[in-house]
Amino acid sequence: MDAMLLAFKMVFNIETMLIIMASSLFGLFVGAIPGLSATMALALLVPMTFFMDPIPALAAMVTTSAMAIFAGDIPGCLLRMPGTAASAAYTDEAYAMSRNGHADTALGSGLVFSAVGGLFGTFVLILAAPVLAEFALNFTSFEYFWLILLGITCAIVISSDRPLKGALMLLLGFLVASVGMNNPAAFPRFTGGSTDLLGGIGFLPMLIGMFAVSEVLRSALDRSKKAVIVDQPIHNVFKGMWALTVKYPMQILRGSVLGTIVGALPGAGSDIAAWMSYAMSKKLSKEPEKFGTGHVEGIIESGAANNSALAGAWIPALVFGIPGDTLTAIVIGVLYMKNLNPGPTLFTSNPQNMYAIYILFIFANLIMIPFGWATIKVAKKLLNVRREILLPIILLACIIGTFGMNNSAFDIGIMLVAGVVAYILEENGFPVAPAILGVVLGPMLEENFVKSMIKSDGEFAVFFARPVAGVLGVLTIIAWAFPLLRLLWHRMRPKPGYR
Amino acid sequence: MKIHDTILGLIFVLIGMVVLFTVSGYSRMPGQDVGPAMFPGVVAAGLVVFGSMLTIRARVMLGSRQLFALGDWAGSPRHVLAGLSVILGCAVYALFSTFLGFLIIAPILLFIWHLAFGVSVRASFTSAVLSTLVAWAVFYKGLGVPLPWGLLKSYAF
Repeated sequence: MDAMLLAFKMVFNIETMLIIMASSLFGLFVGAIPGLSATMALALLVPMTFFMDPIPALAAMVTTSAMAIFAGDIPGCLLRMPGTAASAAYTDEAYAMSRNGHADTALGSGLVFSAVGGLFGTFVLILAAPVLAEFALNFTSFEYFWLILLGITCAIVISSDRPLKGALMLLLGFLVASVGMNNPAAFPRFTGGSTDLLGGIGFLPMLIGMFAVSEVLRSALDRSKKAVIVDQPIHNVFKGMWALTVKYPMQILRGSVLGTIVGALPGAGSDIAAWMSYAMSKKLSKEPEKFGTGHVEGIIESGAANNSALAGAWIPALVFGIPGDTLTAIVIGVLYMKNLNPGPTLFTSNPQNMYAIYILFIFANLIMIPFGWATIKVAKKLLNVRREILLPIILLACIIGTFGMNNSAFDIGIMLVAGVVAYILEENGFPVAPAILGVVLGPMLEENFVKSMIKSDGEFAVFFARPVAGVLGVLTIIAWAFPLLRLLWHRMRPKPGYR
Repeated sequence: MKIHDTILGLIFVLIGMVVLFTVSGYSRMPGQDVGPAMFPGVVAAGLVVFGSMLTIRARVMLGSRQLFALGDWAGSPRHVLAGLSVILGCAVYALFSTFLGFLIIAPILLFIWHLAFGVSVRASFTSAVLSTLVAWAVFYKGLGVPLPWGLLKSYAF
């Protein structure tokens, strides 16, 4: 009880409240501008969190991500350009609704059911995380080794449509994580004699480069014409929301449950949750023919899914230190920076921190309603903000943020290289998220592998000796075989028209 | 910028081989089967295998697509300049910010970036000056980031 009171004090104080307000505005602004993603918002925020206490820093991360994911619906609805990848699944539907004169319903359902989904995901986080943490207290390096391997396998095999390119990006991330002396042998690897590289390649410069500088570069080279805003009046966005809740309770529940599960799956984030949820909504709908013509059902279900996935992704991140998606990969970086090392002991040694995170999630999803409403009111002005003025300022913020961590010009070089490489690889269909997972999980994987090898005296069979480790190991091997099984299935299936 | 997967696959194979060669010289941990070469060695082997698979798949499946093609931005000098200004601007900041100082280099870079992105001279100037001052106030005064004074060191406050 004392821990809970302490958690309330940690959240409800002037400093944290001001940071939550500022982060809300920042998240809504970045999310609403097409081309500026939620990941970019978080990447730009990380340098700021360096100067904050742990809980305000987490407050900034939670609020910004929740607001940015919702705000991505606004340009999708009015411009047919999703503000974030998480809104892409139902952008056409929302745009069709706007053209039919129902922009207020599309935006309102996006807002209200995002908050509902977010709250659902939070309650699952509150219920599931402590139980899993209790279970994980008995984990040894063998279980962690397989868990990490299973996580990254899921991230590239199951949740990616380009597993081969995803695997290469993951390995590239591992390689970047190998640079420097941060390895069990404290041996200087790939430093080329440079003292700047002894501490490794900085996570932050790489993050800002891959998610912010690459976006600025893409916008600089983008020749597409500016989209035109739908010229429809937006009235009361909350009108009819209760009626929709009564009409579509199953869809709301289904979207929230699926979103939370997909979010908790390592590597699969809000965007995949929204796509899967929209597809499921269409498949199970009584009116599937209306999908694509401006029908609200899919928006409700996938809108709930993408925000519930946000909270779901925090479950493996907090309990095991394994990120559920790119956003939580960034959060894990911040947690380590703030000495709040994720893992089951986070729940036992400092429960007030965990309670504070739960409160932050609930609070962020509640204030999303008034803040989101205000953003929708000024949406048309917001969407007219000139990106060509904004992007150079973002670039300067990237440079200052990168420099500010270590006061090192070398880090700016890393940021630039990471940005250019990410831009080129993304242009050629390589997903960037696995590389970040690789950077975060590489050191953990190596450490647990080396520990396990030493414990087992080089006997690999021992990796399967403990029951949970054995199950995780078998699951990992099945996941590895998944692409092969899928290929065989496609080969063996009779072709259409062939007898 | 489109690069054929055949080339990209080969680049990954090459990176893997260079890493394998580099780690072959690493010593083992005393009395252990594993050493600092183990993890990057396995990663490099993965790069060689998956890179080869990408190359082979690209040759088999993708046919005779161009090996290298620039984007449509290559046909627009303004967009080429904008892209170059982003890359060169970051490099210039890294190299000269300590000598010139933030309050000199930031407005110059912002002004050039704005112009390169197609903003008018007047708006570029106004935004460059105002953004620099706001960034300086927030990061230097507010958050305590030691932005360099450079040539203006004697006027530092």
